[in-house]
Amino acid sequence: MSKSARQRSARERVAEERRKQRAREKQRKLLLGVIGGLVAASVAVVAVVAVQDKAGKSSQKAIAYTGPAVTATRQADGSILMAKEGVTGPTLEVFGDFQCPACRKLDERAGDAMKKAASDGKARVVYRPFQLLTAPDFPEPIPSVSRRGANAAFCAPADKWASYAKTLYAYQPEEGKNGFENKELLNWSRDLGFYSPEFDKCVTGMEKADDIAKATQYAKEQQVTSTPTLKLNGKKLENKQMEEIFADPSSLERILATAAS
Amino acid sequence: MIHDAGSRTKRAPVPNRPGWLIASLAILVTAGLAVSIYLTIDHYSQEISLVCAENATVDCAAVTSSEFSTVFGIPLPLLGLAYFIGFGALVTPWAWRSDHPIIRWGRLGGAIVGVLFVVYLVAAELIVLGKICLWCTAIHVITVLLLGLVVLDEYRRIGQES
Repeated sequence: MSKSARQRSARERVAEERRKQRAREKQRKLLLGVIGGLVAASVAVVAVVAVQDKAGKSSQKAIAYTGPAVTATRQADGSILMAKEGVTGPTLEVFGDFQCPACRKLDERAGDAMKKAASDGKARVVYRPFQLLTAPDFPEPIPSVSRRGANAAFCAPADKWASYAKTLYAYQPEEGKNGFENKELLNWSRDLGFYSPEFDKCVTGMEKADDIAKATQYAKEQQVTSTPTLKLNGKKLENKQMEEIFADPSSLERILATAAS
Repeated sequence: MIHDAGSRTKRAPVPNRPGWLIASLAILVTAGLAVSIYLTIDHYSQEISLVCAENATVDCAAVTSSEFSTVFGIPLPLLGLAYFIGFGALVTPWAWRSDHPIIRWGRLGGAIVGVLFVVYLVAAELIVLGKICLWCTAIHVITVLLLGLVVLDEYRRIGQES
């Protein structure tokens, strides 16, 4: 090999080495850029989700019921009767659990229609909150949330029931997440203007546990195994009728009329 | 002996990729596409759960009805479907033959955006909902693996440039 050829191959080797080094440097930059960027962006995304979640929770104000006005009275067994004076039937019983998403949907869809029926004298509407979602069938915190919700609803004064129940459904915790904390339950009573030391004691002391147990026992006797269940004059509405009410709440009037005649 | 320096510097215009890399990406995208199609069908055929039953095996559809099931009004399964169709286009043999920067950066950028979206969704599942959806998790894992392979490909390509 000539001298010049040797020099050339040495130069090539050096150049090759440099190219390799540059490539390694670029590879390093690629990895650092992708990983570093991902970590930074992920932290930001998680922080935004967490902050929004917190902000959403702290700004939960009670929601007042503003639909058709109707007199509500608390019955001896703790259930809420909504009826126009002098109306004797038909009777629509509403079995619900405040932790049940389908009950929430029914309340959102047809809550006003039911109260309108009571207000118009088309029916006596009886709200029967109970605890469907019990341990051990459902893992905690589902049963506790259900219980706290039912207890607070039993504690609330009858004339505030519509607003308080609406609020409970509106802020129904996602299944499996904690919620209906005493602080929230009490704050909502303040928002709705009926907070009292008695209500406070009733909520924090779970004072209506007996009523919940009785209501749950009654639901069991009535063979209510899913919620929401509507009973018209003691007869369970069929799935088809429930679907009709979900699809078009005004169909409730027609269904009530069939029972009245 | 005289080296022919000229022939040494001649390189194929497209970096050669190992077959397993191309195959893995194709399999992952196909799997992602399949799960997305399944979830999309499920999304549209699923009736709104009208009742909560008295046992835990019946899920009250808390997750599918949650506020996180859509983004800007687009149902998530549909978004996933679009993502895998788009990504699928970037890993076709035609796309591999081209070394156009748009395709390369599209792959890398798309994979990064995908993983960030996964981070957002998992954060929502864990922090807000406290629930994990298994089929969605399959999609998340696929998306993360896609990024890994795309980064590996880019890493190799840079190495071959020397």
